[in-house]
Amino acid sequence: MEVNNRRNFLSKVMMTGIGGAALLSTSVYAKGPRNGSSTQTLTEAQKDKLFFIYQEEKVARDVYITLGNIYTDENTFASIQISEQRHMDAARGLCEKYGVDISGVDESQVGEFVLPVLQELYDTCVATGEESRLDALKIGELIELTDIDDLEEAAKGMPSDVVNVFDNLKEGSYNHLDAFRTAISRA
Amino acid sequence: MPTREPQEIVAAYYQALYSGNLAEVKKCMMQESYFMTIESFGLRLALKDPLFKSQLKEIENPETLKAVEKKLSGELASRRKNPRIEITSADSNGPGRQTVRFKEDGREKVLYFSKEDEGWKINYYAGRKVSDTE
Repeated sequence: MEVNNRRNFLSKVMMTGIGGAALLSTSVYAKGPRNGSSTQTLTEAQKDKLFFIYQEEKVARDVYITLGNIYTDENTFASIQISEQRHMDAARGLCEKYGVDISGVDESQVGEFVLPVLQELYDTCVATGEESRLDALKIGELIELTDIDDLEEAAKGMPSDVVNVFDNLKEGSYNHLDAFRTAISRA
Repeated sequence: MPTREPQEIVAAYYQALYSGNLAEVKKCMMQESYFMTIESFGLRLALKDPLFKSQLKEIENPETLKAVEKKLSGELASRRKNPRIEITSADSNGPGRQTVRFKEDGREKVLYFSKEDEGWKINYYAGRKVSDTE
């Protein structure tokens, strides 16, 4: 897989800021064709990426569940974590459709990631969010900004059905972003 | 230099990571996975250091990467972590792929490997099982 195709939650976190604007226009990752192929097949590299995206989606869901348990009077986390589960469901559905074996991933263990790189990401987001309610909301904003870019990038070159799923998820992320920004303005 | 088996690389990776030896970490990984590791483990520092955060966005630039590696190396070493690693299994994921399962301080973890230039390297995208016929 080409390095320039790297575009995922990890890299997106660094393309945005906690409360900052996305800096995608300056990124080498931002360059590249946006074409939703109508061919209903995935390359081996795309299947590999889909499997990683599925694992990565769990980070956002679990961060919201954990922060929601800390800030129980902040409804934003509670409502959005349900939606994040739908993101995971959608990614799982795509894996199943394209024959990607996901048996090695356990969705049920909140905050547990078998891949150390995702564990580190989760631990850092939660540790930052634990500092204050405002920090927690800003972590939410950061995650949504990164998720939107993530989905944009992940859609490149994918078949139309995958693009459609990603577009729906992106709409959801825009709604979450609005919700976090509203909550931040209240905090 | 003899080729290392994936389970040997797991131990070497952890020892290098938490001693801040990113040159050794880099040797253990595919480049893309190495960048992802830098970004993930650098997030903690990036949230506190705006300059580091801006540098972390530009790690494709070799000079910036050096600066990031230098700062992150110090931060990783300062964590003073030395997790206990116990390998539990190493299984083929298909041609040229392996998954090593292990415990990091008792918590179950995995690292995926693929072959590059006949040597095994950590590759976060090699976790999908591929049949031998593919």
